[in-house]
Amino acid sequence: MLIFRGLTDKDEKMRKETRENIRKELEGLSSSLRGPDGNSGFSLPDNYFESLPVNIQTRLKDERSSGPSVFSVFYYSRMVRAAAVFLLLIGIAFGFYMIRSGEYGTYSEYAGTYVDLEYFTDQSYLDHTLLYDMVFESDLTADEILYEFEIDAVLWDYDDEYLEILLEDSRYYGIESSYLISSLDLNFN
Amino acid sequence: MTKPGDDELLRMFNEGDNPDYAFNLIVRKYQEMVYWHVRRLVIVHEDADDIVQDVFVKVWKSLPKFRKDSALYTWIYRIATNESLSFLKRKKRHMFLSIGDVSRQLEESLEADVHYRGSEMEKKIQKAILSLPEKQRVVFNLRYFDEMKYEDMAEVLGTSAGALKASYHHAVKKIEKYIAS
Repeated sequence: MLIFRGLTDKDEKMRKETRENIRKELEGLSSSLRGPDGNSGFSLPDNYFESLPVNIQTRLKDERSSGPSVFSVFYYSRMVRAAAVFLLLIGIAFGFYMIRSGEYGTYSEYAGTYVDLEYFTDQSYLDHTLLYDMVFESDLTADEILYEFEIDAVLWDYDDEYLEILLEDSRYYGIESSYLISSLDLNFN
Repeated sequence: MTKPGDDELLRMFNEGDNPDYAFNLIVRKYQEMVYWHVRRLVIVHEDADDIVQDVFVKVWKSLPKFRKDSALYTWIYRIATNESLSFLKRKKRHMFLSIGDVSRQLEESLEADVHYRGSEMEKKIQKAILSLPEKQRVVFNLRYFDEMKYEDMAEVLGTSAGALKASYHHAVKKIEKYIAS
């Protein structure tokens, strides 16, 4: 069993209670799994957890002393991500429009779609046509698209500012976000 | 001496004279938890080591804006999970691998890992876990190894506790089947 250095007595007590509940749950589900034993066979170089905090402090010193302010790089990255998500919304909305106007097939024909947001955030330019192609000519499911959203937005989801940027952009282009989301739910699942 | 709780650590970091000291305490409190969570996802120690350092750099950068909407430990888990999954995604993309190929490669890494000391049964369980879809693997690991409550898992993964419970139960059944085969 793992022992986390630095847990308070209260933390330890709660962990013990949860552990008991999990073991009982597992007994009802499986006859071969008996709960974790140690670190499941994984091992470490000697004194790893003694040196890790030192290595992290060294990384932080490097971060502080490197070039432009960390905050501005961070801010830029957030803007690019916001732009990528926004363009994705535009692409999906455009797709809905095209489908509804009869120029393309039904929603269900496009249930398998592909979006790679990281690809877009890695690019120095963002191309509407390319985005449209990515949405409609690939093989990820709608669930995976939404999953991509989670992964890319998750670090920022406590940040209202990020959400505001997206909503503002959506409003500017007349996209009703609730309509978009409900359309996704209805037609992709 | 009483160990400081998360609220006290955050107060020391945000308002104290020595935020570096407070951050060091946070690292020491959570490093093992983060490391093992990451290691089980990426398997190779060297990869886990890089990711863990990235996680704590991100924690350090984001901590001044942490608003306590969630517990500190679920927030750190969330960053660690995202970093690990992003790493696997990058690996998949850079090596032109499918999801199945990534699982197979992780299995091979497990076989070749000089730091792995598990028994045959432990190795079989690890391989069974690697055969799960990525997100289900995270769910299983959080519950089985990290002994996390469904409510906390819901905070980490942004999914409902009910859905996570169903996912965990399916994962256990799949692993059971794999072990029996």
